[in-house]
Amino acid sequence: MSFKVKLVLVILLINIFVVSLTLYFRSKQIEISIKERMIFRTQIIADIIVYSIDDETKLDRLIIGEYTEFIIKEPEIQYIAFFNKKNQLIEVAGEYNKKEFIFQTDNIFRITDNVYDVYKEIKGKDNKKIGSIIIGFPMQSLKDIIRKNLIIGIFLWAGATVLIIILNYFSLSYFLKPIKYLYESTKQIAKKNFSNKVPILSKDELGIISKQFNIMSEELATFYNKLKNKVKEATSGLEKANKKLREMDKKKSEFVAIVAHDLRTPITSIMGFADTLTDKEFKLTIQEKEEYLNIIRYESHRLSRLIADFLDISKIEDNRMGLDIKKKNVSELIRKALNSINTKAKGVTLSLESEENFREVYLDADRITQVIQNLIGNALKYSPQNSVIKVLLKQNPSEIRINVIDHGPGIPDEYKEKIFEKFYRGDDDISKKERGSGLGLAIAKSIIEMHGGRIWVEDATPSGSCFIITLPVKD
Amino acid sequence: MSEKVLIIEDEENITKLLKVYLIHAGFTVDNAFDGEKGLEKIDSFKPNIVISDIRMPKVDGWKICEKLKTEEKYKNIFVIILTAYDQENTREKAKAIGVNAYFSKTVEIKVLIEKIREIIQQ
Repeated sequence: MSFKVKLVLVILLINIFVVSLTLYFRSKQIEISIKERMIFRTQIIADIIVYSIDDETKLDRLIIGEYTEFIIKEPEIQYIAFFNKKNQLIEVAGEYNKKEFIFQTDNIFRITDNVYDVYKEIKGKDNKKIGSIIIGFPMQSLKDIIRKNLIIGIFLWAGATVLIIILNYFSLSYFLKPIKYLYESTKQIAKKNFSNKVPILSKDELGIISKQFNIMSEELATFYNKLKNKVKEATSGLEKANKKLREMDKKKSEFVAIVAHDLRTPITSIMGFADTLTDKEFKLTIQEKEEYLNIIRYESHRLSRLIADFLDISKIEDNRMGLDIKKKNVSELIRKALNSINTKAKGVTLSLESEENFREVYLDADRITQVIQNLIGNALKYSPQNSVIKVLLKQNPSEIRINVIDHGPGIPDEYKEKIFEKFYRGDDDISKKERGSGLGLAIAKSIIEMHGGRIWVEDATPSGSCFIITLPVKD
Repeated sequence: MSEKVLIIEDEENITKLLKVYLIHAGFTVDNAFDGEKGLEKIDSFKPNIVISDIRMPKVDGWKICEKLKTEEKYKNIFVIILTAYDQENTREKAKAIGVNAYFSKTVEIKVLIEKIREIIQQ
């Protein structure tokens, strides 16, 4: 049931109640007026009787008889009954069918015998009761008056009600229009359509509510759009993070695959040759046994280096590589590093040139030694027989430089940055026997950068490569 | 006449290992350290069996296998892949090309020799 219908019904009920109440009072009024009229007539009769007799004791049948004839001729009187002061019946005239009289005036709306009885005491000159009369007026004559009045009342009531319903309906339709618009608008908002504006039809409370509603819906729209954008942003952020995680996961899997792949070759050699040594079927000579043991040793060292590199790179990637920084003499450190490298096989000479009074620098001695060994190792692989690999130390107030110069084929420009990437290997020119993990330079770069330095490669003159490391000097 | 095996493998020690086992098993063996040389030796050495790595300088193992499996004159050569790769996709690729056997490294060489014998008997 709509609000309007409820409102119309409530107002209608109130109206019916009020009109009915009015009608009730109207009927009361009719009764009172009729009663007054009849009582007045009865009073006149009573007064005439008192006036006519000089002695109040003389109220007897004889006297009354005279009046009775006269009174009964009056129109609208059906009977008249006289009583003495003890309410004993003296005389009755006219048509009546009562067995006993009730000494009071009837209620006009509650008459059972079609006669309206009016009771009146007859009082003497000293205002003492000398008797009483009851005059019965036939209802027929009174009913006409009542009916006429009631019919008029009912018509008025019905007319008023209909008029009220019609007026109510139209006035409510007009006044409730803003509510209808508000209702429609809320339905639109529920469908997330915020553009619908409620028309402001008046300056009253509903007008204010409509205005506020528009402001509210505008704010709601802004809020909703902001929220939508935020959700979108958050979602795309999550998607990005997810993508990054997936990429990282993929990289990890790739890393594992590469590690597994690289470890397989030395393990196959080790397992295979170990089997030939333990299997009596092969009947190996002492020379063969020695050769195979050397292969096993070589491949074991290679395996150990690969694993060390894999561990280093995984520490670097997880930010788990800590540095043990101490003040060190770089020149001394590099000399030791060079001494540890066996260059006899290729007849390559390592030389170290340093400026005098070379400064001490804060660094992790083991890690820097690892970097130098890696650079020299690479240089050795590519150096021609009997050539020189030179390490040059330079310094300026803010940094020291370590140059590692070889006479190999050099590195083409397009690979000068790539060689520092993880797993990048300039495969094709050297055999796999000399191939490392493909991680050495990536690890070196990370170690140098952790020290706050830089590492890069330039062409050496007239040929070869020059790897340059800088390390900052701090006091 | 014994069966001839050509090893195409750039890893010196693996080549050496295969040779030790194959010679011990009675095969005639030759080898090449890259794909290009491998192709040359297929024509000059005329092996019955080729054991090839996948990742190699110059010409990779896939190209060698494809050549051996598509050209009519090589149709009697058994092709075996021995590689450090052990992923489903490389195995599937080998199968699609028609390679006779696929071994990933860390395989016991004895097992590999057995398989070669099995192939020859068929």
